[in-house]
Amino acid sequence: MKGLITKDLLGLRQVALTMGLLMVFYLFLGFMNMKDSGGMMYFSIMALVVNVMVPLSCAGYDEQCGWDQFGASLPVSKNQIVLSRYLVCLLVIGFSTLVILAGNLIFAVLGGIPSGAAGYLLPIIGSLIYIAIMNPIIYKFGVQKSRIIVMAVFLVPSMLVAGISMIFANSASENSVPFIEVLGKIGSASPGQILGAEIGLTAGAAVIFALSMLLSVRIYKNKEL
Amino acid sequence: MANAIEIRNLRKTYGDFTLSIDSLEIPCGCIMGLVGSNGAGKSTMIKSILDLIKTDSGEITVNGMSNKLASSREEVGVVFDEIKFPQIFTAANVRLTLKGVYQDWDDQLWDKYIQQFRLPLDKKIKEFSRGMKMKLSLAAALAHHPKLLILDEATSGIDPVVRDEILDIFLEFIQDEQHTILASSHIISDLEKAADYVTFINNGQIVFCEEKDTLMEKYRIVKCGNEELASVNADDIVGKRTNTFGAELLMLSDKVPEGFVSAKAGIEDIMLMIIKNEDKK
Repeated sequence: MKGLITKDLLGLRQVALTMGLLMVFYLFLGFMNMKDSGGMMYFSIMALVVNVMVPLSCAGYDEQCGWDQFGASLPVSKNQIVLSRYLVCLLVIGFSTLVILAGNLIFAVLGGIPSGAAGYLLPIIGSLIYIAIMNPIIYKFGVQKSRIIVMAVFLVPSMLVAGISMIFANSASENSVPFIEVLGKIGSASPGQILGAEIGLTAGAAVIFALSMLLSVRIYKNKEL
Repeated sequence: MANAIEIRNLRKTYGDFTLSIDSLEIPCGCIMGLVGSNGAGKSTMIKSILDLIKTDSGEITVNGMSNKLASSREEVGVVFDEIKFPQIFTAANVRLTLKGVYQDWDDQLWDKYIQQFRLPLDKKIKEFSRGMKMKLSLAAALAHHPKLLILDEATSGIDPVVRDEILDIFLEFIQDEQHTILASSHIISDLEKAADYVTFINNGQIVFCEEKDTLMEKYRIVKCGNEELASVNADDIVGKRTNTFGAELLMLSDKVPEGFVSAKAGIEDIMLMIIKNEDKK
């Protein structure tokens, strides 16, 4: 399984540079808004975008060169093939979380307002759920069809979020805050509330992630390569 | 002699095509050539052996183990018609990947093949020629000391010089009597040079599986004019190719009528004439 993870990580080098540059840009953007807790939230959202690109990027490379067929001819079980992909996703989520932590630390040292709990939770939980939905779709329908299905799956919630944001904006009083700052306010909650939210949301996302893994294994085992 | 591959009652249906193999044994220490036209079932058979597809029924063992077990592929090297690594990979990346997959991965053996094939370590696969890609696939398939090498159209699209170089590697590999090669190829001349046995598959069925030398002695090509053709017993004709002046007949050696001019039949002649005969039925 080590080899499968290595293969995915080596393949991701191609997109890593682009994603790295984007993250540096958003970090810079955060530094431009030092006194705004929402400043670093953009950086966190960018980390979320990077994380969720992993399954499609990896599967895209595999499909392009026919790796699926070759990978299954290696002495690895189909379970291991699927699990290694999920592990790669977790590794990238872990790495991006460390980058967010480091970014916030530097931000705080320089006198800025860190993003707070929401800044760490949003990319982790969002990525876990997004990847949990995407991976089985990719295994079932392949990369090309998945792009369309994923767009459709996420268009509805995105429109809902946009709608809610518009309601916020329309009913705005002089004291109201933009939606992004509402997320940032989670960081102002009591330590107990934060801990509860962290445990609850992360555990929920982890359960969805685990269920997705089982579903992907089931789909992959029935797949003709 | 133990068998490298055993197939029993294999069935796999795709729409109106069915691969149906009641029994096939590939003994250790031989090169088995798998021939047949496009869509005959060669790749389906190889995919079944590698457990890449869900078969409808049947049992397959590889090196004495069920092909359903991932460990049965530990001593198997596979080369497909195209290299299956991402195009941005270098040979060094391939090594790093497979080192983490095979228990018996041998860096020194890998280096030996990379040097022998004159492959660059830091050049991306997308910059490789087709011959280089195939050599890299072969190095990847051999560097973990496999006992069984499975080649699915591995030599197609490669120039004769590289093909010959690759054939030499196969012959070197087969020197160990524990080693076996199953090679499907459209290039019959390669199999005529290297194969010990030939399995001919047509419309999902095995037409024959025989030792190459026996096979080539078994059949003769008989060239005759139209008058002579009329005198030949139709039941003795295995295959026929007609022209304005007469015909070329594929016949069993012991059925060639006395006085007729006959020549040794090549695998390609045997295959083509049997397919034509089957199509006419």
